[in-house]
Amino acid sequence: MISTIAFVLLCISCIIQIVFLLRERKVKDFFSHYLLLAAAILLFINIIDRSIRIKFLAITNTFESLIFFSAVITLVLFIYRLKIRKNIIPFIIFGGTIIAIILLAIASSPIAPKEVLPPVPALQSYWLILHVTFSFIGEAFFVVSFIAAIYYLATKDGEKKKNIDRIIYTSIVIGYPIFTAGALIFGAIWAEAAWGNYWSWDPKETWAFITWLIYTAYLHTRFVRKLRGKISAILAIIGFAAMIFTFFGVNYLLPGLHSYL
Amino acid sequence: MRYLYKFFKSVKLAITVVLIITVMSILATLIPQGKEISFYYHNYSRFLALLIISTNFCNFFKSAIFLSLVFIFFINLFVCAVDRLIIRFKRKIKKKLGPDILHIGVLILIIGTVITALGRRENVFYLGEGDTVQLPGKYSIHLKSFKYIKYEDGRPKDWISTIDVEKNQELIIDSFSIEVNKPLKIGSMKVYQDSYYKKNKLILKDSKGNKYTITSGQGFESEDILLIFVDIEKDEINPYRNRAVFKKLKDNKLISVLYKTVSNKIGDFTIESISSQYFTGLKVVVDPGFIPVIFSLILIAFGITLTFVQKMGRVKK
Repeated sequence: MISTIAFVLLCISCIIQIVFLLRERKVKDFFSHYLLLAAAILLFINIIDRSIRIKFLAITNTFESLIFFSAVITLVLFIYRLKIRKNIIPFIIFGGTIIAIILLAIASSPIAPKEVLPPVPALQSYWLILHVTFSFIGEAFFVVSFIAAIYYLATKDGEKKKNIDRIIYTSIVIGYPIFTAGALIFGAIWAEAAWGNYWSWDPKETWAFITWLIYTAYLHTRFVRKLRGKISAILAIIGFAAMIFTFFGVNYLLPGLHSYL
Repeated sequence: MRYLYKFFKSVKLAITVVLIITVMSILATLIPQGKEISFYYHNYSRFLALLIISTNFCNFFKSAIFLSLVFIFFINLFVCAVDRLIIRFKRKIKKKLGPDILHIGVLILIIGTVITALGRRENVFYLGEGDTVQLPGKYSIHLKSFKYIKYEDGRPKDWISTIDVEKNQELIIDSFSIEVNKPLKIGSMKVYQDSYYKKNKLILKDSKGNKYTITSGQGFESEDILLIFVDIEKDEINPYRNRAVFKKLKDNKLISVLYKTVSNKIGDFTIESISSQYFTGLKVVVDPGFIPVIFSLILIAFGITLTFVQKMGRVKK
C-alpha cells in the first residue's frame, strides 16, 4: 500500500514535470520535486516497516531491492533539483523520475514476490547490508549520468552541452567510489565471510566488474581531449546498460551464487 | 626503451585494455564456463566449439587471453604509477595523492589475486555428530553437535556446527559454533559452514529374522513391483513418530506412494527401525592471497575517497 502511494506520487510528479517542460514560457516548477521527496520518504518507510517485521534490513530480495533503489534515486533527484539551478536540470529530473517509476512498476510485477520473509543464512550479514546499500546509492548517481548523457547527445547547444557534461562527470565522480565500495569491496568481503572465496567469477560478480570497468574507462577518457564529450557520454550510457543487466539480466538469464535478488 | 616506456605510460592504452577486458568478460558470461568438452560440441557449431576449447574460452578467467590482458594492464598501470610518482618527486607536488594510492592499491590487488590463484586450497569434510577429522598443522576438529534451524514456513534459518578444536591432541578451542557468515579461524586456515546432508536409514527384517539396512534411493523387488525408499518424514497421525516414504513402481512407472512406520510390513519385510542423521559439510580454506587483497582493498577505498574529496573541493572552487 505504502509503495503504491509512492508510485502514484511519482506519477503525479512526472505529469507536473511534463506540463512545465512543455510550457512555452519557462516558468519554474516549484512543486514536483517535493512529491519526489514525499515518494522517497514513503518508500523508505516501507523498507523500515518490512525490516522491523523480519528483524533485519529488508533488502534481501528483488522487491525490497527495487523499492530501496527507487527510494534512493528519488532522493538523489530531489537533492539535484535543490542544489543545481541550471535550466538543464528539469529534463534530467524528469528522466530520472521515469526510471524510478519503471523500477516501481517492475516491483509490482510477478517477477518480484512481495512476501515479507526473513533472510536465509547466507544473507544474514552486516557486510550484505553495506554491499547492497552502497551499490544502489552509487548506482542512483549513475542513473543521473545516464539521463544527462542522453540529453547531451540529443542537444546541439554548445553551452548546454558543457553544463550537461559537467553533470555527467560530477555524478559519476560521486557514484563511482560509492559503487566501488559497495559492489566490489564490501561484496568481496561478504563473499569471503560467507563462502570462503572473495571472488569466484560468478556471473553477477563478473557483470558488476564489467560495470565498474566501463565507468573506470569513462573516468580515464576525461584525461584524453579527443575522447571527452561524445565518446564519454556514450560510455556513460553503456555503463548504465551494464548496470541494468547486472541487476536484471544476470538474475533471469545467467543464474549463479547471487540467486537471491 | 623510451618508446616502450611512452607506450606503456599511455592513458589511451589503459582505456583500450580496460575496454577489451570488458568486451571479453561479457562474452565469457554468455558462454557457459567450466563445462565438459562434449557440452560445447553439443551446443555450438563444430568451428565455434573448437575455437572455444582451443583458446580455453570455456575457462576464460584462467585462460592465456585473459591473463595476458591483465598482465599488459598491470605493466601499464605500474608504469603510469611510477611516472606519476617521478613527476610528483621532481615537481615536489604534495596534492592529488588519491589516484596514486588508488593505483598502488590496484597493483597490490592484482598481485594478491595471483597469490590466491596459485596458493588457495580448499576441502570439504562431512561430519556426523561425534566424528573427528584431522587437518594440516596437527589440528583436528571434533563435531559435538549440528543443528538445522528452520523458520516456521520451513525455509532454512540457520545451520550451526558446534566443534572442539585440538592441536597436538590438546584442546585449544572449546565448543565454537560455526555458522554461515561466521567462520572459525585456526592458524592459517578458516573453517566455514558450507553445506549439510541428511542420511536416512531403514533396518528391515525378513521372515527368517535376517536384517538388512537400506538408505534413501535404495529399494528392492517384491513379486513384479519395485519399492524404492525415498525419504523420512513426520507421521501425520502421530507427529512424534517418523514414517518412511516409499515409491511403488511397476514397469518403471510410478503406481503409488506408500507411508510406513516401524513394525509395518513392506513387501516381504517388516520395518525394524527408521532413523536419519544429519551430516554437516565444513569447508576448510587456506588462502595466502586474502591478506594482500584486503590490504589492497583498504588502499583502493582510501585512494578513491581521497580522490573524490580533492575532486569535489576543486569542483566547488
